[in-house]
Amino acid sequence: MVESNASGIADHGLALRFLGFARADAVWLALAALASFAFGIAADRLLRPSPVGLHFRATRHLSLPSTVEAVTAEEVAQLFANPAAIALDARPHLLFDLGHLPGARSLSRENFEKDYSALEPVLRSAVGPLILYCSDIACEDAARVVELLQQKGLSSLVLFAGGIAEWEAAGHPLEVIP
Amino acid sequence: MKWSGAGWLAVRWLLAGVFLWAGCSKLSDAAGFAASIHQFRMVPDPVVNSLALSLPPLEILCGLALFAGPWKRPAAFGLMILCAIFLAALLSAAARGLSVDCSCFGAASAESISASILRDVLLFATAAAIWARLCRTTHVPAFKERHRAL
Repeated sequence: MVESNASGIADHGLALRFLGFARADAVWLALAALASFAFGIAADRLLRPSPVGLHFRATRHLSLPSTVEAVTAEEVAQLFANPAAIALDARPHLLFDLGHLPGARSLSRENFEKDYSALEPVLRSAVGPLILYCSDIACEDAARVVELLQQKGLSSLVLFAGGIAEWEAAGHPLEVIP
Repeated sequence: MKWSGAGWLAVRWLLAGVFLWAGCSKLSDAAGFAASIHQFRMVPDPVVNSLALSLPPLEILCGLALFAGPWKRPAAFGLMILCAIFLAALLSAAARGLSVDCSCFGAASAESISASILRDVLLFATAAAIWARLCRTTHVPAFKERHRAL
């Protein structure tokens, strides 16, 4: 009788022991995580502008709504598989002429209203994503143009924050106007 | 028995070393790790940078605590949970068809998502085994006394 009880309690006790340790260890982990996150947040604020701080500078500074999707070079290449996708270059015309993403149209930030008037029918009837880009992650032209397009009521906007620099670094070709 | 103890010690130190290495690699290329977190599309953009600077210190903390000292067991538990979180993220990315690079050991660790998942499962199992072993061997007088009375 005693043996049987002792055995039953021992099995139950092992599970309780594990649960007790898990609870105690979870508290330790929560404190460690809290300290690490405090370090992370402080480091992000102190190091800015840093390579890390710059990574999402364009989207962060402009507080773009979550409806705008941010993509990488590889994702842009995948989006180009959709013939309805339209790339829009937010850089000045001179830089556009020197080289741009294949098939891209110029929608420069500096001449936005003029360029937009010319492109409006195309943009309004677009059924695919509108991919905005500029030079690199430090440039804010593309993010600004995204804001302006949103004000015009356009949706399906995609921000390629890495821009030409990331596109070339990924080994993709540029198109040059002859 | 002695060999067994030495074997567990070696496995524990190996796991601690792996996470110390992983944490230091990520911290040295925090921008690359931030880009990698962003690819998973699981956290809002404003959180990405802070997370990229928070996870590596947590890995380093758990790795250091697992080497020796009074926090070996909580550290093993922590690594178990971290592996489970990484595994969930990788499986979610794979399910959504995302082509992601986990940057688990810094930017230089380009590998397929299936290889990352396999390695994560192995690390999770190792951490869980170490935690279970430490739970069994931890001396808890009050606990034993309480159950002896029953």
